[in-house]
Amino acid sequence: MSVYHRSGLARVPVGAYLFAVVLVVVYAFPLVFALMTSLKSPLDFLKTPLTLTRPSCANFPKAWESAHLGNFLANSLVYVTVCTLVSLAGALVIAFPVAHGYVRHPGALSAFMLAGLLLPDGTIPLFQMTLKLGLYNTRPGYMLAMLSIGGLNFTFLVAYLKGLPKDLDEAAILDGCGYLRFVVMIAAPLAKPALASLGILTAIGVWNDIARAIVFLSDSSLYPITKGLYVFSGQYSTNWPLLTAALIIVAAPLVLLYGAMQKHIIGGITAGAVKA
Amino acid sequence: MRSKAIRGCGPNKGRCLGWSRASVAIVMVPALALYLIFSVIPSLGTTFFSLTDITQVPGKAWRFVGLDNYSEFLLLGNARDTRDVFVRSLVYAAATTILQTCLALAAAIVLDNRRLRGRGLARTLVFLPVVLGVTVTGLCFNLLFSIDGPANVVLRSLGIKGGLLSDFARALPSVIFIQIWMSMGYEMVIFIAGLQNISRELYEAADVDGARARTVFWRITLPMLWPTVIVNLLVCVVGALSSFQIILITTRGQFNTQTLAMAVFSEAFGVSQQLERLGRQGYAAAMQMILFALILAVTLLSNAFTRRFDRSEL
Repeated sequence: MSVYHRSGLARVPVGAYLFAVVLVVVYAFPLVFALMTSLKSPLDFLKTPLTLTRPSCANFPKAWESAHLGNFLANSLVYVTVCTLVSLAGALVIAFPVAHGYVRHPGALSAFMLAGLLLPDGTIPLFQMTLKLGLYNTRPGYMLAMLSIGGLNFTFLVAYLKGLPKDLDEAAILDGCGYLRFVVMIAAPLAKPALASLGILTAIGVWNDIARAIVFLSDSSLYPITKGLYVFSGQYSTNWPLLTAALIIVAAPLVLLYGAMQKHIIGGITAGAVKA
Repeated sequence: MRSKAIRGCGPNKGRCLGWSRASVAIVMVPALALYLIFSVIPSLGTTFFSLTDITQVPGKAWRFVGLDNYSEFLLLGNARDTRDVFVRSLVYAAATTILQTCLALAAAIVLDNRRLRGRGLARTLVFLPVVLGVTVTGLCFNLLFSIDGPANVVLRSLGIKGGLLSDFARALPSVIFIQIWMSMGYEMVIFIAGLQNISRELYEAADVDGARARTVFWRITLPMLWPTVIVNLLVCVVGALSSFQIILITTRGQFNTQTLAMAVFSEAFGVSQQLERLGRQGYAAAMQMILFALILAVTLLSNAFTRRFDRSEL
């Protein structure tokens, strides 16, 4: 199969074409169908669920209003921004001294930072902790639960920062540059490509979270967009046109973001996964 | 690698390269504290809470119950329910992992073909659900598989009655399909990166020898990609065992889709409509520990297997 393009001799086999076409149909259909449904009136949907006769955009403003999407979107933006920035800053200040050998036991610290990946899920104790600390059903409580300082963010940054020459550190010290200032003003900007990839992956993770939003938030004014949509779907489970309109409103910015950041997203995933 | 440029400042003097260890530590400690308090301690706490009868209700008294939660789940409870949950988890994990990895590999090979027109668009489309996330994906399929949805229209025209997500026999396969639909793109992207790391010379040599596509796949592509395949399989099986979000959105664990991970979540946080006794978090923590043991066993087994495989290859 893949031999053909490598050798540049033969054409694409029919089977491969067929597979690609089936793949595109299976992936496009649910999205196209959701879009189509969002353009119908509820009555049209009940009468002819599968065909689109009189398209209208009336559902979109209605969904925006009745699902309080504006409020949820604002919440999600706050959660994503804060969690991503704190996670990356936290990972950076631990990864930098580990990568450049400024801590006594870099191996042990690395193992500690990866422990989160191996240990059992801690949602239940975290829930009990937030209850005790008065953080249950608060924005800070949810955001603390959504941090990801260890794991991929940490290991990826260590690997990247090892590539930064230590001559820089020495030059900075000779110039009297303090440690914190160096990390913020020199190391962080130099790690921008890694931070961009990790940042977008972290942001997607926070934006798409549903389980922890269900666990840690009960007040609807605090819901992120995912839980807002989930609850809305329970209330309007029969009004698919309205629901799909809300769905499209939520999905559209993600699709645009993906279009703009595709390189960073794919780069982050593959760099984290493929062993060179 | 410690630089030689450390000028007369060994670890004993508490200085390194002119920056004091104290300043390094001060900058690091807040982040370490956040990670320790909100990630490591809760994970360790699951073991602790699995030995108590703590509930979701704030302020309610709780006590240690030893291994009661474990024995209740494994021995005292409805043995058939427990066995069903295990079997379902394993079926769900195995089916998702095997099908998804095969499909992702096939998709990667086809969509890595430079002569295929529109391959960029196809890749983007297949990866899109990863970005859209579980809520949008799940709700989209709730519509598609709903009673009025197109899937049921097709089924009805074939003379098959009953829904997909509300049918005891068909709900689990449907959920597995949605899970694969949602996460295959992620695996595909990793496979494509792996394919691009394979030296072109191997393919050129095979071409000169007149090797057929099938031979090239079994003798070059798959062996060269094998480390990536192994990593993907492990990531996928661990992910499938511990994830329940798509089940939560589509069926909430009803209609025979209650996997162990889903059971933990609905027991602990009372989201299932099936259960009347809700929020027994001590009991749920014990189930979480059993799930953890299962994941650990799978990880160790696959590690042992691959190590043995590697040795036999060498």
